[in-house]
Amino acid sequence: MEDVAIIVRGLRKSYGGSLVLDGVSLEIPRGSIVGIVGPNGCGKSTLLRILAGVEDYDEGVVEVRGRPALVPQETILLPWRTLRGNIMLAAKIRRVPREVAEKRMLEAASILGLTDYLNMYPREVSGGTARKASILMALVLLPDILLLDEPFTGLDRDSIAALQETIARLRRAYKLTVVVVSHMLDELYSLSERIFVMSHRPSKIVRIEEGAGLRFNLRASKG
Amino acid sequence: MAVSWVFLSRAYPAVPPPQDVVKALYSDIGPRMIAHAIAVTLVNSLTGYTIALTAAIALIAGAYLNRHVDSFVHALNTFIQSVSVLVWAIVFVMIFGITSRKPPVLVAAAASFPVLLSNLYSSVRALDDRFRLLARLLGATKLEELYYFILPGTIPYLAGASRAAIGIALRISVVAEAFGASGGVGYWLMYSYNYGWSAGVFAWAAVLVLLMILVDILVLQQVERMVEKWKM
Repeated sequence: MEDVAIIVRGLRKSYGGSLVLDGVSLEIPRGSIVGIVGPNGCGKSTLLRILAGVEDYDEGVVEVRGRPALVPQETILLPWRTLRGNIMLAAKIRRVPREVAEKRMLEAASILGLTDYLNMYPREVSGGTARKASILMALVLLPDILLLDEPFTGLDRDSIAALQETIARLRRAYKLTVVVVSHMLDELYSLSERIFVMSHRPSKIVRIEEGAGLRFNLRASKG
Repeated sequence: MAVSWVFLSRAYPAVPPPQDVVKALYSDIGPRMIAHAIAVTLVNSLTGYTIALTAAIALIAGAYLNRHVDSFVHALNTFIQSVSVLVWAIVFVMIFGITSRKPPVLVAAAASFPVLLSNLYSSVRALDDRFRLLARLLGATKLEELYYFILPGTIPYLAGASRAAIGIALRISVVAEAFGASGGVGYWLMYSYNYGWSAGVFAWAAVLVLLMILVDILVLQQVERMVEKWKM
């Protein structure tokens, strides 16, 4: 039996009487990259927030075995702090020792190609760089599980491919379990080993697809 | 403006011609006295502004952390908006006496406080929800949320409000100085009026206008421009 990082069974969640998640069940193997895909508004982000522990649910079982860190859909960086300042603030709030956070930040920044941007303010960098800084912010929290909400939104094809490769490298470097949410199946297909397909609201998992992630990740780890 | 002034001074003897005002400034009053009066007025208004700012931030922080304080601040905000500054000026002079340095300071504080409080109060409410989401994602306590996310987030709004508040504090502390006998531009303006010296009244008025323009251009506008970048 494979080692499991996340187990969800019969998860139900409603907002003001409107059912959003209607008995979602899934299992995510430790160390894998999985995708969750579904139409807009089906509750993918809600599911991710529940997995991150920042949102309550009504019914079901949610077992997250490890420390999760969520990278939200919208890039949120404090405009009055540099990228470094934002990242170190996250570590400070989560009580990650400064030296440990600093070391992780520099290491991960080099994988993400952010080293030269750390002393810049969010307004001075592109959307793609700011997005990577959000991922870096999550990584200094020393997570076991990285939850990425629509990380490819607004990026061009080349940037998507580059980010996919970076995610695969980060997974390998930090032995992460990565969950990526998207509304585009093709964005997930090459990266993920397994893809959970959600239905329209009230949503549940209707299909599980095998992605090409194993091959992709192997290639990325050699690169 | 200078031409209109010349015409006005010819039409109304109470209005002194510009050359009399310039003479009053340079010969009768002199730079030393002007500098001293400006210093007194600046100290009065900036101390008042600082008191108001401290009180507004403390109340806003309390309101963010506790809903009972929030209700109190909401009610206080409504109340103070409806009290005239003249009332504060008279009341403080009555309490502390005309020779005290306190009335101009407290009147400046009372005048700038409503501007600061209402602006801060609404900016905290209107602040980008994403800051709160980030704080929640990081597991920040309410106090950390306030300290690292909310208060710094209000600084651009606070800078705008401060520009207005310091302007009001300057204008209003002068009114309170006029009631008392503790020096400052307002005191000398009233002094000149009481002695029927119209050139002196205009000279001190010119000092006040110049002071406010300089403070606005050299300090307040610069600060506002600097922190504008902090907006998301």
